[in-house]
Amino acid sequence: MTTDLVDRQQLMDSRTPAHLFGDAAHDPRSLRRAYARLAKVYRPDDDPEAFQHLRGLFEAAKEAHRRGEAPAAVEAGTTPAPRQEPDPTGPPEAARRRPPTWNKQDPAHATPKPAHDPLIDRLIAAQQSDDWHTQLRLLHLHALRLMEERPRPTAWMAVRIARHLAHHLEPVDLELLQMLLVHPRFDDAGQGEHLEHALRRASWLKAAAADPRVPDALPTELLALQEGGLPERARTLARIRDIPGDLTALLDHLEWNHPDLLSWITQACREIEEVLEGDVPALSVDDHKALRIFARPLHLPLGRNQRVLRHVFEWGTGLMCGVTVAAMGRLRSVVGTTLIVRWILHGMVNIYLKGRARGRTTSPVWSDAPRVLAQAARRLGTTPSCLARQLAPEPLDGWTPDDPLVAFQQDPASFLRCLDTPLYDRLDAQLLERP
Amino acid sequence: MTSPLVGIDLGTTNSLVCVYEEGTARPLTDDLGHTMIPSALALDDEGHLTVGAIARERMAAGLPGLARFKPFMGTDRTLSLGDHRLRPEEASALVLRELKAMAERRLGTTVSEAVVTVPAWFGEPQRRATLDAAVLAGLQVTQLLNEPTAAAIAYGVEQGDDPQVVGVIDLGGGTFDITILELFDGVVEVMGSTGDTHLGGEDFTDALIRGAAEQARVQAPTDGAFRAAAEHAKRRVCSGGEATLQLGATTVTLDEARLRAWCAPLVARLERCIREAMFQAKVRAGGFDRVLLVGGAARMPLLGEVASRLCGRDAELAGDLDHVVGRGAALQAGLHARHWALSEVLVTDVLTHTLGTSTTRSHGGMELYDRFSPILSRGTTLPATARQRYWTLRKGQTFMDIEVYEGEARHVRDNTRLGQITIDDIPENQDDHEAVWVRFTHDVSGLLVVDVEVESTGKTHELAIERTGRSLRPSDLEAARRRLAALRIHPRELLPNKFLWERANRLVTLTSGPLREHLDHQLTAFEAAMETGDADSIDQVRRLLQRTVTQVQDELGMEL
Repeated sequence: MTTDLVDRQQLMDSRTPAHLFGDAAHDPRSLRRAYARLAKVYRPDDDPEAFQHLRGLFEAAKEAHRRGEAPAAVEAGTTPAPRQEPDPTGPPEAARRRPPTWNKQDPAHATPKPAHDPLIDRLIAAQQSDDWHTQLRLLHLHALRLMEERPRPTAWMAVRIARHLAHHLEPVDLELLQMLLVHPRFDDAGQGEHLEHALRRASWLKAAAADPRVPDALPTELLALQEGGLPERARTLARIRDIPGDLTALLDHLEWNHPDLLSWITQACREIEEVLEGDVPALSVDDHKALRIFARPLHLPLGRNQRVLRHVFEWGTGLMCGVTVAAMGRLRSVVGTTLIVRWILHGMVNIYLKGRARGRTTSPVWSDAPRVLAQAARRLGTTPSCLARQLAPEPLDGWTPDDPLVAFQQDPASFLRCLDTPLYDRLDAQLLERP
Repeated sequence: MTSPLVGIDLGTTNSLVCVYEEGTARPLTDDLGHTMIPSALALDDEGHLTVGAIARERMAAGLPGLARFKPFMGTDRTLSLGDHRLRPEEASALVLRELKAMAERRLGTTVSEAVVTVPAWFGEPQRRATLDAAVLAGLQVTQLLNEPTAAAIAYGVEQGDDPQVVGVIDLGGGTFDITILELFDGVVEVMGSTGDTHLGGEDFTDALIRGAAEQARVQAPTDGAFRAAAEHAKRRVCSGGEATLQLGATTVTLDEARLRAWCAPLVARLERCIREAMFQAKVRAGGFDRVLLVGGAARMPLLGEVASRLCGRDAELAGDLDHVVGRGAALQAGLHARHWALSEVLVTDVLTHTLGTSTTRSHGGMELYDRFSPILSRGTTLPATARQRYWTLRKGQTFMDIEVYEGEARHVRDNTRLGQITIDDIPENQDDHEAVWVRFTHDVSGLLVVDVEVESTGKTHELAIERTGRSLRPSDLEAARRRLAALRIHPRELLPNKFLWERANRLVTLTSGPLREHLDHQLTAFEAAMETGDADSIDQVRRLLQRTVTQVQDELGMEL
């Protein structure tokens, strides 16, 4: 620590906090002590130039501490020196006091430029490059990190993620949403609609991606249906129409197995149709044809049978859950967690999560689900939220990857499920280091 | 014999004068033995002026008088006292004259200069009015000191060396200030400061009166006696008791729950201020070592609760909270005079309002006029200097008006104009735009010096703005005309666009540095798109802006 008082020339020559404060620059306490000593000598009203320079270095060191960087690496800002010290054009107007002249000298000792927040820079870069993937990941990390730090429950964090996910989804993000819902810090603050929306979309897409009869290109195009003006959307429909294969058979398949996906398409058609009744935007002949093909399902009412079937399924699931739970009490040691039981639990927990997200329950099966879940958890010797978390095939415990970044890229879902703060920070540091 | 070191706390409800001698700052008493002099004026039965406690008594008895003029400082409002018409600074001058006389009686010597405190959030017109008031009273102002900084000095001088982060929350009669400071090794450093010049204990009384009147379904009486009764009732209710208030024929019972309900919007404003200050100072809840409440209205438990909740630490009433600002002012007088006992103390304050100039932004072929370009940001430690480079708008341009503005808004018409310098010796260059460097230097006591250097020739021009009272050019006509012109029908007036634009504008005033630039840039792009009127491009830019606004709101981490 610098114990000798620095003389003025030494102060003005110092370019970095390390030069001036020496070892004291690394420790916040010693830094302040050193600054205090110097500031009482080079006071702001006595020697503004020296004080300014001292202040610049002090603030640079403080900022470095705040970021956890080494202060020696940070340099006070510099601006290019002016050409000559010219004569002033005349006496300054009617100032009661003489204006200072020190500012006319070398402005290299001006206050340093404020440092950029690296996270903001990355967000800006990602946004400008339309690299939604990176931006999304950064937002998730930022959000989940903040969820650990903030004392308040952070539903808005999840909402922001949900809003992004609602438009730019990947099937893996379904798990992220589910994790958010069961995170101990999550508190539904009446924003369930957005989450439910995102959850629904994610699950449709995941189901479609897993279904071999649904062409791979379809889910991507469906995402594109949300973007752009109406002409773009019509063109997307045209592209869907041109997906190789039997379109009629595909539509029938969708209607029976993924009615929500189909309604996604039909909703787009409906909107375009509504607009067509008014002004006619620039739609090509092809676009009109595409519209007409997809408008066909509009005239097929969503079968009452289908709705009934769905309710039966949900009721049935509830009943089966009840039966299974009772049976599981006996079969636990023998059966363990078989695929069927997990599938039932999956369905049950999904209902529970949807019910929670919606914030209200309308049919008996919604309100039963939490109780059933709690019972199941008790029988299995775990907690309901743990059970909800264990939906994925891979186990969670004992997973400590060496390289968080690689692990995150390979299996984001599992990684985020860990919700392990030290691991997070490491990943965060890695990501922020990248150029 | 040098003038005594005197500090004056000119408050909305009460004022105080303190002196620094023999190593301590102590308040001075009047003939009745009171230290707190009510900031009130009244006429007695013969039509002579009375100031202070007597005036307050007369007003409480229902006779006419003037009591709340501090909130009107800096405005053109005329106040009436009997047959006299007074401006707010004239009323303040009368109070200051009384304080000066009192100090002279007590100290036995002439008092010709003093440190006078102002709310930290007072802008240029209000500070100028305070200086005018002092001049009218025959006092030279050594320094205009921010009230929370004064309280912090009074508190900090007695502390040890260990670093502390202290939040000073000052709820006076009419104004609210919060300043967050770091104290270490005799240094008192302001980290963030904000406030509300129209929020004080009196506003809570107003809310109580309004609520009671609504409940009784009668018009609220406006006489002084009723107001005094309401004030008394408020105090009783705040300490947990119950009170009744007589409104005409009806008696209204007041209890704490009802008072809270009536004061909810005021509490929301308090919360907003506190959060802003914490954001400025980069201090989170739980990051405070002490939270001090000062000011006449600090005794309200409501304030303590709000402060404790937001700061994550129990707020405590500063000992001697009525005098702490005045004592701090006296201490500052001592510091200014280099009193030997204070050689180990250093106080650094920050700029409370951003200073900048007026520019024209060009975006994709559209020119947007009168945009504020910050040069010295709010929160910069004083003394501060910074410079920015600007270019001539047209090739071959030989002169440039550099106008100096103070404020946070993006348009200069919403900021305060401080002065202007015109340079007319830019070399005529038909091939390229000429660059000009504008440097602002602000010292600790309120002197702003503007240096303009033409880059190619190196010639400089200088303007010094004393912050006392440069007469402004009548640009009001211009501003009014532009406001009317903005009323034309335009896609801008579509509700969602307008809301986004307003919200983004407000966010710009709350941020600084690179984040502000980013948001400002996107907002400019949005405005340029709106000028073109093309729906598609507006849509596209609007989505981009919406994304940024959401991100920035989340960065700020609060519901605004």
